[in-house]
Amino acid sequence: MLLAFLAAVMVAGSAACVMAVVALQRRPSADLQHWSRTVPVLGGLEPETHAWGRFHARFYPMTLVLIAFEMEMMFMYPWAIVYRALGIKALVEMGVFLVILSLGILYAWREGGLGWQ
Amino acid sequence: MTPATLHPLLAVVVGGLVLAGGAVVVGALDAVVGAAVAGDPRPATAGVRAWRRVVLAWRRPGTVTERPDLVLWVVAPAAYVGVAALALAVLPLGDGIAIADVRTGIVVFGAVEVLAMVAVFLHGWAANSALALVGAYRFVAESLSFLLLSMFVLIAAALPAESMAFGEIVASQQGLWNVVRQPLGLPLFTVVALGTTFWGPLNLPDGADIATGTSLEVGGPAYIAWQVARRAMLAVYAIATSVVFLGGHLGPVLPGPVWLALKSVVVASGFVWLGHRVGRVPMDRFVRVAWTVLLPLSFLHLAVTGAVVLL
Amino acid sequence: MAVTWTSAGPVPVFVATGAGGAAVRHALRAADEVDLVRSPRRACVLLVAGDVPTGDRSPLLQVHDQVPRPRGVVAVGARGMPAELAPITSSLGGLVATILEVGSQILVGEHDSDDVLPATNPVEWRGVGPNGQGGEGMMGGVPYGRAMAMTAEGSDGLTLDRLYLTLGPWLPGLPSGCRLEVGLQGDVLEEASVAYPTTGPTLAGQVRVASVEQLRARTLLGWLADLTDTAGLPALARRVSRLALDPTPEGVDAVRRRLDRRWGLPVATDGVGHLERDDVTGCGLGWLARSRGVDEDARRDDRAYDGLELAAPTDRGGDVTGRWRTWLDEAAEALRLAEAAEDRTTDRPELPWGSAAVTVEDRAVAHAALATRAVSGAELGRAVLTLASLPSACDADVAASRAEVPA
Repeated sequence: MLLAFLAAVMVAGSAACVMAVVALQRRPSADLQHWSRTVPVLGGLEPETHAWGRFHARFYPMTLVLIAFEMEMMFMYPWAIVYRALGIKALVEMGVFLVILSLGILYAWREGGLGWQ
Repeated sequence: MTPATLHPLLAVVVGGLVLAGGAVVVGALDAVVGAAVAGDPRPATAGVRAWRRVVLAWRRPGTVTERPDLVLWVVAPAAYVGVAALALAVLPLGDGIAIADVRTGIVVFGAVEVLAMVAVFLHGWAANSALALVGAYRFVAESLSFLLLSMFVLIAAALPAESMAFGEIVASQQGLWNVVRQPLGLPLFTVVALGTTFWGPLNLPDGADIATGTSLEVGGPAYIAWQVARRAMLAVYAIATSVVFLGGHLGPVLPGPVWLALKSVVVASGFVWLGHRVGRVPMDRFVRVAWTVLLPLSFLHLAVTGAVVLL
Repeated sequence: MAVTWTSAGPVPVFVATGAGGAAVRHALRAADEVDLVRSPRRACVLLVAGDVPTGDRSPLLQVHDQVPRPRGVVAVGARGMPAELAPITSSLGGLVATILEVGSQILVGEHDSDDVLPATNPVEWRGVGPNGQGGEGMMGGVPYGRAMAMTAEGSDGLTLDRLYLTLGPWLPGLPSGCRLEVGLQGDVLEEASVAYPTTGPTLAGQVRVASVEQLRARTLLGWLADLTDTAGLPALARRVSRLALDPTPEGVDAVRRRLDRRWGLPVATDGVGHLERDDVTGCGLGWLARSRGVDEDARRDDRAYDGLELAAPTDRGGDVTGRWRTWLDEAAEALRLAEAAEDRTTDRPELPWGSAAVTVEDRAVAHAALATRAVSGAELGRAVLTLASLPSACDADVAASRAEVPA
């Protein structure tokens, strides 16, 4: 198990390092760069402000429904392994759980939470 | 069950080769299929042109904006390819050949999708440019929508295998491939694959409508890093699709890894072709469709699979 | 060795399309040796095609500086270029060769174009002033250069930051010369104001009916190519661009079959940018009115079109899909009319981009009002796609139709 962990981490780490080195090539320093080259691309005009800030994420109601489903995911991981052993009872239980959560999706949809405004 | 593993140093070599080779193959497929769809007289030369494009971009200088977050800008493609490597690590590449075929492979895959979302977000955030930031937040919305699809589809694939390890999932397909007994799975997983690599119809963070979004301020070698990372991720997802639905390394005469490679190339060609044929789905429509149509479909898929498994 | 190999292209080119330069963009999209990039940061050559309106000159200088050095500037038929840029002029015919040559010179370091805008921020913050002005950190401390965005109440009642910016005249995806001033809250345009250029190509005097109809076919197919590109289908856009350079009825049918499939272009454009019938009636944009079944067509009353059958316009629906289907229909019809027209001439042509009875300024104002109404409150991607479906005269290749491009 430890060997598997080590192997996975080493593969991921070495791939990430290689890519980081590639992404660093020929990159100028922001402070020393000629200013007009560093203006953000908007089609020729300058922005009035920095882009960073309190972004209005229009999808925040959807994320609440997602959290409910994430907790359900945690339940389903062990459920999948013991499913065959437990039989039809497991299927019905999970069906009930999913139906309850689907009511959540239905509610969010009817209230416009899955839309964009 | 002790997972099949490779020695860490061998794993680095194998993983690196598969990622790099996969990225090259996907890049070549993209160029050739794109040229064929565009009606070019000699599509095969598009692969050479794509390679020349990479060499030329390598020689161009990198770019920077006024007040970027330089650390995160470099971390983003690195993290993206790092999680792609992590996803590759849990996939079986042959009979008993895997970098880290752990018992909780599906959970690792889910973690990879979330971390990929973070990597793409960072890529758009770091530039401190309005359109790039819009692309970054778009990907968060998109990613959260198909995350659950991926989990339901993979859990449905885990039911007959009674295990979350990808090696066991392949073994459970000895009799019949999952693409036949779980027909809804492959289309839904295709949506997930195209989404995590933001390819074609789901290319929302780097879309042409926001002037290539998170990649807008990126040029030179950093752009190569980003595009190679995306192609590597698509290759990994092509391998994952073959593992979960097409029986992975199972096959009569040829050795396991060769079968896996063939199946993955076919799947990757399908992804690339879809990318060139289907228009980009508008952001809010994708979120709505994913939650109201695709997710209930995945519930249905799970229910049907569960019933079939018990028979 | 590597230099000569890569100097065969493809050279990454950023095309800044001015008025009447659309043909250049389509020619380059279809070419193998040139790679049209959507960001100046990935370009090696800045190509200015078509006339540069006066107000768009300094944005063009900004775009020039955003191309990384070493860079080159090439101009095709570009009147009104700013004096600070010293472009290499070219004709449409020798354009690819010129670009390849400039590209290879840039690769070996023999060619470059100096920065034209200042090297330091002209309005650098200076920290806290003696009377308490300025501030700390990113709000005006030791040089951060730009303010942070302030909040405003959104349409759903939340008060969060609103970015005020102008998606400028040279942004790929928007029609040529079109400016989109937005108050962007998240990715929704809480405030929007569109401006179209008030100058543009016109047709004056007696023109051959066949020329006008061929111009119509090329213009509409060119618009379709750009829309397809913005909708995420670059390979199909290449195909349509190739057709736009040399339209044929069979080609139009083939393109229609490829694009108008359920899982093709309509995926991107269905339900986007809806315009009511009342909005488009009397707007001075003939094709737009006809896309909703309103028969505003100067050709119906034109003696020169006697005997040439014009189909009655059908209501294709008010979204972007309806508009590009109208473009395909009108292009096919225009090719048929051009074939049948022989030597007829007219002095009041129905322009591809609008009615000739309306002045250019009035049309630009009406067009802008229409577009503003269509994109206000929309999500940014939908807004850009809507604008891509509402192009102006500047996206026509009138110069090519006259078979002359002033060098």
